Amino acid sequence: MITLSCLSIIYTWGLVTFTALFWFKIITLGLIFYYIHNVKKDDFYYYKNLGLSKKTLWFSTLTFDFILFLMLIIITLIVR
Amino acid sequence: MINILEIDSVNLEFDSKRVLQNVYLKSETGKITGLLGKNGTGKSSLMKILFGELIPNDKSIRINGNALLTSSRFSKDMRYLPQGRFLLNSLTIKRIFSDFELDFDDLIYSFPEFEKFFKSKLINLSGGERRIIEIYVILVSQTKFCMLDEPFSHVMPIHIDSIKKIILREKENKGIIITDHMYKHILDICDDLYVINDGKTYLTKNIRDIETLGYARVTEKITVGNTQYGQ
Repeated sequence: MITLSCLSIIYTWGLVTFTALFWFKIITLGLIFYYIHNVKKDDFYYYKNLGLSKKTLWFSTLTFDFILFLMLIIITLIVR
Repeated sequence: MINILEIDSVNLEFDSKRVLQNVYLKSETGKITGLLGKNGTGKSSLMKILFGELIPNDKSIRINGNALLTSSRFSKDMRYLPQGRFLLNSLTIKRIFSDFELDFDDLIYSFPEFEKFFKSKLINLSGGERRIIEIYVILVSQTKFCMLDEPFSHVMPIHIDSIKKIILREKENKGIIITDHMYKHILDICDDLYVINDGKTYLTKNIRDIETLGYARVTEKITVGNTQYGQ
């Protein structure tokens, strides 16, 4: 939803909004990290019992999400 | 092969209050290690330290003499049943058994009434049923050591007996560390028994140890390993 909102804004207003959207994305990732780290912390035992550490999970998901965000922004700017 | 898990030199403090110090605990394949202690003495903290979930000021954890220096743990080395829930509500039992490479028919052998739950999501199970799945998953899946934090809470007596049978079966190929305030069940199945008091672990030798350390008054005759407890 956050990424889709950003795509909608950059499609409408163009590259000038990129800096604001970049920091908006970073802040929302931070908020999601804070929420899951505190509220859903027991769920991590499931993954750790399967040998997946918190670091591995966070690094892979946040990296994937951010790269997807950048790629979709670039595609949107090309299509626009 | 006999695997040995050891922890010592633990120094754990919360808000400058020392919780654990001079701790030593050993678990090995073929043995059930009981861990008892009053509320707040650090039993769960000790298990979390072993599992790499709690980082104390000092610690030394070794498997077969090899130190575990980071908080990462391989599932082939150890698994941990926390006091609270750890299985995800959105997953089906079928998926959980697939993730942990378990045979559902073996669960049905011990708990026939669970047959209908194979494709159910965990959220549809009661607290006790859910706990049995959690215990089973940790206990039976392939690993060298498993740690069970209060496995008998919320479980009805007839199922506790089944769980104890599974624990005794599984100790043949792994080391098991178990803590629970239903201490008679612990005394019933454990080979070694540690009691935590004043931040230290004491390997008990006789009934006086449990009573002297202020944990419980054991009135029945119970045998732990080669030691008989009780009056």
